[in-house]
This record gives sequence, C-alpha cells and structure tokens, in this order.
Amino acid sequence: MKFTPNKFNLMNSKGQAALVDSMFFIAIVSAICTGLFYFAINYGLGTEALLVSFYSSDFAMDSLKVITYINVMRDGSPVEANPTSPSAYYEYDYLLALVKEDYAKSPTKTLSPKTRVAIANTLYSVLKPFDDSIDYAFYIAKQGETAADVKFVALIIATHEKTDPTAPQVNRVFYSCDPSAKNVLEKYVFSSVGKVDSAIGKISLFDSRDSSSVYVIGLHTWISKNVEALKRDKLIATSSEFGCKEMPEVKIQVA
Amino acid sequence: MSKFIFSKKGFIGPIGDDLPSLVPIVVALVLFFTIFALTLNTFNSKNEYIGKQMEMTSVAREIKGDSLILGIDQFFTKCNSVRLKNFPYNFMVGIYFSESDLRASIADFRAVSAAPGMGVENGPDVGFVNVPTDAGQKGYYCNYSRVGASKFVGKEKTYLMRYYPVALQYPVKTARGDSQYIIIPAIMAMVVWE
Repeated sequence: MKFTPNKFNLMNSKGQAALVDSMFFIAIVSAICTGLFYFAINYGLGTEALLVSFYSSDFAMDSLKVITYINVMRDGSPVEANPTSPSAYYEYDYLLALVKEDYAKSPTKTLSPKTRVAIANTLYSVLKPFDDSIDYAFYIAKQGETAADVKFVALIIATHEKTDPTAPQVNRVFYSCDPSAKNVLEKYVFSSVGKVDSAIGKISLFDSRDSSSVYVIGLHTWISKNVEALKRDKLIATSSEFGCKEMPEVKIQVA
Repeated sequence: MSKFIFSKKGFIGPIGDDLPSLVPIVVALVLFFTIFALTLNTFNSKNEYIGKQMEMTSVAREIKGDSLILGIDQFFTKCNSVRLKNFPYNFMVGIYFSESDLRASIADFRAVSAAPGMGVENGPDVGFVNVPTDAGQKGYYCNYSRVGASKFVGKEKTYLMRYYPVALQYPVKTARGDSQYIIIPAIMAMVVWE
C-alpha cells in the first residue's frame, strides 16, 4: 500500500511548530530571568561586606587610638566627667604614661594589675556599643622575627560567660593573662572564633636603662562564640598556656 | 478544491490560529518584565544603601578625624566642613559619654529632629555631652538636612546608624576652682537618613 500524507495532519503540524517555538522562547526567557534573579540576589553583597569590614576595622582602630589618648586616675580608676568628689582631678595621667611607667619599673617587663584594670575599663567603655555581641583581646607584645616569637607585656581577654547558673543572661568577664606560650591567640582563639577584626599599632617603651624597644599594641575583636579554649576553667587553670586571672575590679554596668 | 475548503476550516485569523502558542509567549514576557523590574529595583535600592554607607563612613571619618575631639569648636568646624549643600543625605551626629545608655540614642535623635529649629547647633536637652561656652551650654550635636527633607522618624530600614569611639577633651573645674581639661572616652553616634 502506497503511503499518502494526511492533509489534515500536515495542517496540524504548523500549529505544533508555533507552540514549540514559543516553548523555546519561554525557555530562553526563563534562563535570562534566572540570570537576572541571581544577579539581583548577589549584587552588592561583596561591597556591603567590604563596607561592614571597613566599619569594624575603623571601630577597632578608633578604640586602640582612644586607649592611647585618654586620661585615667593614677590608681587606675576611670576619671569622671562629673565627679562627686571635689578633689577628683588632682591625680590623673595619660593611660599610656601608666603603661610606660610600669614597663620601665617592672623587672619582668609586664604591666601592673592597676594599669591592666585601667586598660580593661577603657576597653569596656569604648567597645560598649557592641558589648552584647563581641569578645575581644588586647595585648602589648614584643614581636619577634616570626609570628610565634612573641613576648607579651600584657594580654587582656574579654569574654561572655554565664557566671550565675540560675540567671538566664551571660555576663562580660575580663581576664588578665600572662601567657607561657607565645602564640596562644593564634593557636587557641583565632583558629576557633571565625572572622577577627584587628587593629594593630606600634609604641616605643623605655626600660630602666633608657633603652627603647618597639612594641606592638593590638586589639582583636570577634563575634562572641562559645569557644572551648576561652572558657573560664581553661583560661584560669594552672596548666593553661594563657595563665589568666579574672579581673573583678573592672567596672561592668549591669543593664 | 477539497484542499482549499479544508484549509479554511477552523481558521479564525492569523492570531487566533496561533492562540495556544501565544499563551507561553505572553507568560514569558510577563515573567521577563517582572523579574527585570524586580532586578532594577533591587539594583537601585542596593546602590542607594551602599552609597549611603559610603557617605556615612566618609562623613564620620571627617568629623572624628584622628579619634580625638579637642573641643566643641573643633567639632563644629569639622561638622560644618561636611555640611555642604550638595550632600546627598541628611545626617545627625551626637557625642555621648561612654557610660551613657546608648539604647536611648534613636529616641534622642528623633527628639532633636522633631524639635523646632532643626539645624540649630544646640538641640533640646537630650543625652549628648554638654559643655559650657560663652553663649551658654552647648551640646555636642550637629546635623545637616537637605531642603524639604523629612524629619528623622527612626523607622527601621529608612536610616543607618553607626557608633564610633572617640577620645573627648572635656573641661572640668577642680575643688580649687581652676579649670582643667581631661580626656575621656566617649561614643560618637551618627545617623543618616533620606
């Protein structure tokens, strides 16, 4: 039997061709729309992250500058802008002057507890806008030739922890540390806390023989996290490489 | 003859004949223009947000300088240097003592914005640091508002707020009555809105 094409079917296939064309069109448009949507979602994310990073770095650097500018009482307590005691302003000095004095007088080249408290009070004051959300470490150290070759003059770590097991909130706790290991921050903190915003400067400190050394003054901030190495028992344990002691003298405001 | 008759059957015009294929085309066009409008809108709003952040960063850097504010005159001099006529956003800057409750800062800015005489340097009595001057008490507060700008209402997503730590030289009187200056930690709060 000879095959003859059905005229009706031929007519119908014209409509199918138009339908397939339109399906191709919708497929192309869908691909373009997906691209546009992807662009809309991702556009500016890198720039925004960069701007936030600028702000975090600015904040850390400003905090570091404030520490080097401000006055504190000679006993390490903060100066009050509106004092209750009339003789409140007789004995104040630059915080940096206290640091330099301590360094010059100390045979171990470390800072005295009162200067550390003064630094901690200042850190608490300047970082107060983000006190609920960040933890930080401040240090003055002599930087060696390698990253591991660090000699700390002072290391202050501020963390959040639950000091009262019956209370729902966590509290700000300051630790003054004299690390036995040189790279404790890199080893235990920076490797665990995620993104760290850092501000680092340099200061010259003179010892009792009037010889000067350049020291690094640094502030590292990170989003508060439950890190094993920063828990109280790990920080203050006698076997801890941090060698920390809690600083109850720091004036923490309770909300 | 029969072919001619057959082809006329069901023919309802050049568009009507292709009606099933028009539906996906129309859907595709609607989808495209919707996504295009959404993308354009997102693109513009993100650009605006980024621009606002950049302007805020540059203004804050200009005003706080080296993070040391030596006095109210220096503060206003720096603030005036950025209050240019073509600045694209409204802003307010205030300085708080570090022990102040910063949760009140939005309410403070809202109060000074709503107060009569917006743009006058000494705003109403809010939490900003005040210092005595020859013209009376003056607050560490400055603002810039464009012509016809709306007041700051503190509604979410319409403003940006940032805090910057600064060292503030502050005048005090001792028990002996002599004037001294102390440098204390303070917080500069800045808000930018449209």
